Amino acid sequence: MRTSYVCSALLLLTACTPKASRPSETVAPLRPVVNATVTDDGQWLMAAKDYGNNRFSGLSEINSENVDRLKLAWTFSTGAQRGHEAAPLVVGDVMYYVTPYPNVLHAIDLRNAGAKKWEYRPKPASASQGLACCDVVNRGAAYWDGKVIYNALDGHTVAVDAVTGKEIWKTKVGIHQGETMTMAPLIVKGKVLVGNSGGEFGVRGWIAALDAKEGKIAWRAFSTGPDAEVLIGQRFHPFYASDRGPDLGVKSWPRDHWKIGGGAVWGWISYDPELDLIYHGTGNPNPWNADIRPGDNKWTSGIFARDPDTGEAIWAYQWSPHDLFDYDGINENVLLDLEIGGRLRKVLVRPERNGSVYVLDRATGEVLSVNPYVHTTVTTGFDAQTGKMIEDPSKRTGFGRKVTGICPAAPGGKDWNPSSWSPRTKLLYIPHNNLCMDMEVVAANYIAGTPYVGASVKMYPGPGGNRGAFTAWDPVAGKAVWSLKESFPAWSGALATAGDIVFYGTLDRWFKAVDARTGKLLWKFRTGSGIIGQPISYRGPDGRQYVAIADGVGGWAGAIVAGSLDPRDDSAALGFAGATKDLPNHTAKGGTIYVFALP
Amino acid sequence: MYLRCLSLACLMLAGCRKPVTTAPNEKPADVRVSDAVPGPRQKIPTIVNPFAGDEAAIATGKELYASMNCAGCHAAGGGAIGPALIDDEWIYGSAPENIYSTIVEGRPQGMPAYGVRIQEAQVWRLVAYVRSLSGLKEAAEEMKAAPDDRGKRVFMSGPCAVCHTIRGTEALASVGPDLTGLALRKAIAGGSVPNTREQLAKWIQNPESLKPGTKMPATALSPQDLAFLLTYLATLK
Repeated sequence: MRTSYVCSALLLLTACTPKASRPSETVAPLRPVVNATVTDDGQWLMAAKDYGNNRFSGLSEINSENVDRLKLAWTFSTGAQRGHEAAPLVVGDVMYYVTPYPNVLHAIDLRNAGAKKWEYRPKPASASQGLACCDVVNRGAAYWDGKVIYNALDGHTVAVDAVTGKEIWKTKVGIHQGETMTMAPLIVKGKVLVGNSGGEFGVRGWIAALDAKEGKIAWRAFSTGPDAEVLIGQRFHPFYASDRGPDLGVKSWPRDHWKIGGGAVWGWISYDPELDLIYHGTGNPNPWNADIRPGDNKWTSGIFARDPDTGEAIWAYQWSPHDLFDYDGINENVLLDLEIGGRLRKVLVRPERNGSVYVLDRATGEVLSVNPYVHTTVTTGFDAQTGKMIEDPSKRTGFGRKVTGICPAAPGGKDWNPSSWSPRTKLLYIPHNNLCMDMEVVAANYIAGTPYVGASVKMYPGPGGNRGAFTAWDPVAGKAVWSLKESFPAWSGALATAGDIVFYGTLDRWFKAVDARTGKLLWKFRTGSGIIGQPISYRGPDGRQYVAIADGVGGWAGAIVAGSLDPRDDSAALGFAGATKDLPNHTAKGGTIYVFALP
Repeated sequence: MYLRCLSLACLMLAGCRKPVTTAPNEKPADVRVSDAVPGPRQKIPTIVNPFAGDEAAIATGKELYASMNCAGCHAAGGGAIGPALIDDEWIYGSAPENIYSTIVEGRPQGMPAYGVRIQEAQVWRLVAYVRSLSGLKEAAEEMKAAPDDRGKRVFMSGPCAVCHTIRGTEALASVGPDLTGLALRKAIAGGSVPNTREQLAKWIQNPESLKPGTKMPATALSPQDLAFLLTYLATLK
């Protein structure tokens, strides 16, 4: 019990404690805990399931012994045709699902084999579809006190009555031209935490907190600019020297460039109730062409620890200062308590886009270990003194030269698609890419509301020829325990369960269950369209365990299908099409939720 | 609607003459995105891109495509946020006037209305480039193969015929050089400039830029009229 197990359980408890006074109509009767060693109420109240972003289901009715008998229970068409990245929620006896644009919220009756209860349409502005860099996705909703709360593509956050489907509040949170919202909110102590997308449009990144009751904006913290707007003050104590000093969010940029500098907050947020800190990443600096923005470009491609009540920054760190390769720093921050160097430490494990798994002390921001989980050519090591990666100068981009063999490619070792932690195996299950790229920077003309990139990219498979993999990672030893090759980038989320199985989906339409300890394939199901969604597991009204996943290919990796792009152009989809030319031979568009159970 | 009308109206502004191509330009509603019509089919009037087939204009269009960030959404034509342009699927039509309207007005699924940002003549150059991406240059070839009399009408009704002669036509003035057989000449502007479509366009619009002190006056023409005129001049063999 000396590892993260305790912490996980704690986080689970905190996350699921019904401050969430669930609406009486959807309250399920209390059921016995299936696995006595893990507390799990059988619900799924936020995209990551728990505040620690562990995505671990404590249910074990479906396990490595019987998963091969898993059968389809029911399906539900979402009516949408673009990339389905959202995690379904399960609250009591109702499942909720947010579609990609037009961001319809479906309420589905679990007592009646997936019958439709109602739908809610926020009607986002149609033009916002032209501002979403990487398909018009949505990563899911969060449940809080009788409300289902999520972001619409055009920069609105909405709260919907979980019972009636009526809109309770709708707040325009977006403030910049070129901005969209795609991330799943996290709700902490009555505050809805949301952030913007638009790192390819020259927006200025921010995270905002809205009062869950009425939708009023309580605070907003920017990722660039003066300390007063980044909410850096007396309580800010970054671990590394290069992060200390006044107004670095201004000084680490050419004059005024921070105003269009990026650092969008479009990924995952986690929360540690004991330290009372939230953790969120920041996206790539704008434009991709780094020649235009000399300096560290703070606080892009980094991470903040903040006070959830005030937004004040407590510490910050940049994974990739002066990012050259579109290494957004927004991936999941998995909060664990691990025994490292003989003592139990509160850590934050981050499979980072730049190709390494970082283990940080989550109280201080100190980097405890950095180990590459994919083939990496752009850096040669880590300098513990400065806290910076050691760059290979031959991979430095610049005007007038094409740089080849950049690994990982722009979508990184992994992109947004979240990993899952099992406290039983003590392994982190990471769906990821194996991609490299050639890159040439070109002029970038900033016109508000249009793309601001300045780079031409061509991607291709990394060593081995497989474009993706699913890897079980030991964060203490800093190495892979097993890894499964996937033909295409693994762009779905992962789900580990107390049945010692791990679920994930593939672009070529397989939903798979593998043995959590060995990686052995135990079961697979052919879906209609490719999978980029987040699998979940819940206990149904009948007391049985279910597993759910949405298909619907798209996102950046599946843009070639979702956007009907032309594979003859290697630079299509910001260079991703070159690496996925054959995807249209494997899948068409779609959008269906599949729910599985044992017979 | 206002923008489109304004832009198309501009095409007609060629000095104080009557518009050369009347019907299509006076009825901007005839820019259609559908072949379906209620009732009997009617001939759809075509609007000619004044820069169709003009390689220099296509090159300028390519530069605009980069600087206006078109590539950010359409890549090198394979598409990204916006649809592919090198394929043969066109949601809002592939005719020059369709693409012109798409660029100027924007489209509901996210295409910005670039009419506020790009001058009309530049939009036509962009149209020529965008069409060239999928090999749509027929209009230019058609123009070369079967020139209609629109360019000749620009010549005869405008200032050109006041000064020049073209034997076998009503242009018989002798203020400027005789232009009979112009297309066969290697050079223009007193032999100082190669006789290409691009240079000829410059010579007509801004002769001082090629030959300071020349008696040839600058002539303001709409891009479309200029294109018709250049096409006509190219037939003078």
